[in-house]
Amino acid sequence: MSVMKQMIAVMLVIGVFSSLLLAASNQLTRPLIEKHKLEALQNSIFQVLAGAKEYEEISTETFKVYKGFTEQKGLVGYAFIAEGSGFQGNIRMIVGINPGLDTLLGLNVLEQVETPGLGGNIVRESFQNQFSGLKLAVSENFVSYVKNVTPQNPGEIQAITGATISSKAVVNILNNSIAELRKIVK
Amino acid sequence: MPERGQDINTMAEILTHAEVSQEKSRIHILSELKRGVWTENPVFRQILGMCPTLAVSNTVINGIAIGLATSFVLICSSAMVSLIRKFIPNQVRIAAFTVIIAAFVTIADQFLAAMFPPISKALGPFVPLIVVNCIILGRQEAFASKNPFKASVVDAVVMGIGFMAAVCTLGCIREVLGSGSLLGVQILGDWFSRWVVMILPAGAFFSLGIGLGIINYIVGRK
Repeated sequence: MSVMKQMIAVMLVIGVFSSLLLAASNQLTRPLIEKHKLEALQNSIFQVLAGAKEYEEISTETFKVYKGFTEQKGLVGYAFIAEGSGFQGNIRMIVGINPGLDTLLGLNVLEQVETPGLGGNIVRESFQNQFSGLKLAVSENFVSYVKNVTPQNPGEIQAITGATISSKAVVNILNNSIAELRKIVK
Repeated sequence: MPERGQDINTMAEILTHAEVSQEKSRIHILSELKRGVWTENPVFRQILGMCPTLAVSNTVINGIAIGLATSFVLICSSAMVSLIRKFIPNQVRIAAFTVIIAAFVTIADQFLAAMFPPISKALGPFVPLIVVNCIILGRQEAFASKNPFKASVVDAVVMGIGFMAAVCTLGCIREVLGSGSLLGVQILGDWFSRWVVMILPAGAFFSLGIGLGIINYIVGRK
């Protein structure tokens, strides 16, 4: 067999064999992977909407929103994905808000790559708990941050010491997303 | 101590003779293990696979995970390449190796995402990046494509162990100093001020550099 023919034949065989192997692997793992994704989404929605047992997606193409219901079909609130640039990279959060769209019910940071020990502390409960039951301000800045003092006014949270940029990023992302949400849900 | 010149040759002959007459299989495995973990360690001696070593050595458990995933790909690829080595024309060998490696990496990635989602999330893009881990392509080119099946598989196993040992060693240092924990368990109390730099890339480079220096000094001295 000439070298040319052998090259083609060998690559063909390797290609076909690899494709079969991958098709089999895909077939076996895809259902499990989808299941895990759905479970993770469900857990994160129920985490920020306390008391919700079911959810329904009402997302647009660019904005993900979910309605959370109790077992008796009562509306607990809305959960939406808030995403944007942090200090080091992308920050992705899921946020719960009441049906009136004026009080946050909870916040959970899903993905972040901020500086460990500083901005990375936005995943700490102590930071995230500030958003549970946070009444939003009436102005454009629904949420704002203060440094080194206890928050007094509606919508205020305390920034993390030494991580102002990460805290500011969280606040900005939230404000943008809440504005977006209010356009979609009226 | 033998004197220089003739005596060394005689000494070497005597030793080799003694070695050969002992159980071949036992020497085989132990010396192969020493080769993969120490004298020809892929990270510290061959200077391969630095990127995942630096990135994934922030905790020991991550090190174990990437070590196992890489070993799986390495063993499967070496086995396959060794089996068909006589058929692959020289001109397409890199293309052939890469397709085979990529297939196994995808399988490993999907397996982790399906069976161990938290580990898959912790390792992130570094499982797919095993495709470009030079250790794997390096072993195919240098060993598996030129050696029989059993020898190639043994080589792959010891190189995988060597890689995992290297990443875990760095992992121990970085996790203890940077997070005060080992395998997720806090072992240093609050009295210890964590060296956050060890979790960051800079700390990875420090640890790797010092490790490289120490091991090459010891091996070079012999």
